[in-house]
Amino acid sequence: MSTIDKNDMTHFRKLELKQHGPVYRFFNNMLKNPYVLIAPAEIIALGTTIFALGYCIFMSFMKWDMITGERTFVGLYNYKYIFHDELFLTSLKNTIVFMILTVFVGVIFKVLIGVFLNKNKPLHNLVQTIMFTPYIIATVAIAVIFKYMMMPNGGVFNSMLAKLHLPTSEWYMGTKSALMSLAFISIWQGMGYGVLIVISGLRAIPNHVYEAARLDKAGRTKTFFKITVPLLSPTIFYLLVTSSVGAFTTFDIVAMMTDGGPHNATYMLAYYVYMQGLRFMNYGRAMAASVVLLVITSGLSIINFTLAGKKVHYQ
Amino acid sequence: MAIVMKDIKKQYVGTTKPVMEHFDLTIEDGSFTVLLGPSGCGKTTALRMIAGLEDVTDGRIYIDENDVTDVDPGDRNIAMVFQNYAIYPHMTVRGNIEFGLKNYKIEKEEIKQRVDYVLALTGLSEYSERKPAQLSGGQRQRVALARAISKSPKAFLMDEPLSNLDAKLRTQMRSEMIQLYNRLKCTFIYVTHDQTEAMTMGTDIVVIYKGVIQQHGTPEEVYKSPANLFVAQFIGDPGMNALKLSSGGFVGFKPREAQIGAAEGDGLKIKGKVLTREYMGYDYMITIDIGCGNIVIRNKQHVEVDQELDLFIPQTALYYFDENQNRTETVQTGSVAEVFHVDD
Ligand SMILES: Nc1ncnc2c1ncn2[C@@H]1O[C@H](COP(=O)(O)OP(=O)(O)O)[C@@H](O)[C@H]1O
Ligand SMILES: [Mg+2]
Repeated sequence: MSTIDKNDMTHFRKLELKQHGPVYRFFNNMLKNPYVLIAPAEIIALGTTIFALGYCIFMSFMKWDMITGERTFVGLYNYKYIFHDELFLTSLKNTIVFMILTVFVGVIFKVLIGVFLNKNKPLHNLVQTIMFTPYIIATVAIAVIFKYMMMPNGGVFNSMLAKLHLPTSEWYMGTKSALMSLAFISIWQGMGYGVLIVISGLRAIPNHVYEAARLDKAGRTKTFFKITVPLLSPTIFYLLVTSSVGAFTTFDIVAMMTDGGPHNATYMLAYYVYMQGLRFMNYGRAMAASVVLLVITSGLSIINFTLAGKKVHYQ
Repeated sequence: MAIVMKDIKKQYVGTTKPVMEHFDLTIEDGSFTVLLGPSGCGKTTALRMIAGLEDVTDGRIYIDENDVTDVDPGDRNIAMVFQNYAIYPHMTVRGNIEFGLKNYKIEKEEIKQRVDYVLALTGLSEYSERKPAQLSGGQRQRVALARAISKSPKAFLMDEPLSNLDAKLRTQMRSEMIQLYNRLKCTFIYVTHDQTEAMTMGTDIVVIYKGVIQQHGTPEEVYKSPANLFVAQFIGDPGMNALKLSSGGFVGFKPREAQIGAAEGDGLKIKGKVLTREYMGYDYMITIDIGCGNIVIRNKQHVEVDQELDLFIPQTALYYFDENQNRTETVQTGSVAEVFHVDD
């Protein structure tokens, strides 16, 4: 009977390697590098974003005459212009208000409704499914539907309010109510998705933790704030990040419903960029405004990740 | 504090068969009562009903003569340790213990004293500011214990608290648990499927099978005089060998009572062939094919696989069971039909 010692084993391994040629070994080694494996996707993603980003930043320092096609370097002129532009400042303000409304009110409702719907009963599941549908409907369609429903004269909303003897509203036609109306639609549209995320977050919290809380004589409110919210914080955090960035880039409901009106009450950054660039052909200004938009959204993400991230409990 | 379950019925919503019916159990004040039985027999259900985490379908539960059937878990003056610890993952060790105490509106000074006391008692003082994720399994178990102790409850309910620990830690925690019981001297209700745990820790053992209490007694009682064949086969390492007789009754003997070699005198004589031999340190666990099934004995004598053996069990070591599998003093006679195992 022959014995196999350590030396023999290494010998076997060498033999095995020798069976492959140099080309095989080269690719074999290369494919062990994770960066090589994600490279195709990364190249496409970076190529499309980085190129666009660089081009955008570059163009924000230029004046581009659409008739002659001539581009001239104007330094910070475009930035100076937009920051002195009443309309830009208004749209900046509107965007911030819109974001605060949709993000905070939205997240609060998503969590509350999520907690309420988190029961595996047929009715709860049905409601959850129905709530999700707006998310898969194109925003354009939603905007059209709401345009009719929120019509101050003869719209469903006001007719219902009138029937219930409640005060009616101007909705998107009123200077004061327009931004709120858009925020309402935006929250409504994202509700189903948010609730779904919240419910999946809630399902990840083990039931025995709640039982321990019951034995610890924690009431409903206390359980919600001291157990559910902290354990749901990664989910809440995710919703905060995605919805705040989403709010800043809101464009389609504005374009479909209000064109920024009435009296610029719903003029928002993304719409400003669109109008400057594609209507007034002020490419430089549009690019400068979109760089501002970029800085704000990246800033938001950074703030979210650092400040909120500290309070987030990751298990 | 005596805990009484009176004529309890429990049927989970959406199931067709009740877990238990007419379940009566009295747990003596200050006892270390172990609910012991195979998986699925209803131990956890019984414990959770005492805790108030599960509703009873029918019947009443009393703690200290007070009907607590409709009382919230938090107001039953009990503490529970779960199998998976159920500590709050987002709170520090201290926070975990404080949480309940705050809800009971205990004064700040007193909370601090109690927390420091239980941390010292469970050897967690230096870990008080750590999060559960930074603790080992044994330490988390201690946090759960500390949290329970801090409430100075009248009774501790524990559901397989040691089953997630490795063997060595389990032995250690077992001894700590006994020390804790001796120190606190309050009622412990302990659920396990492990008869060794039950025998070593309990002052009282309640053997449950299919939602029915088979026997309620001291460890000595359930070991030495099992009420029926199920208890006889469930208790012991391994349990009793039972032979079904042509008359319908059973004769049984404990694995350690079988002597190897032919012998004279009154008793049971069996011939068989060794199937397996497992070395257990002090002795061997030997599985023997006796023709109508396999039996297991424990013996210090070295035997070889396939060896033919004569076994002798003295008359005094024999247990008899009637055709309903209940223990009887009446000697059961008849030819051996088969080796019998209570199915579980
Ligand atoms: N929440 C539940 N819903 C339905 N059936 C359950 C539930 N919990 C336990 N059961 C059933 O009740 C029986 C007893 O379970 P359990 O008390 O957990 O047993 P043990 O703790 O003794 O293993 C089992 O048959 C189990 O499947
Ligand atoms: Mg159980």
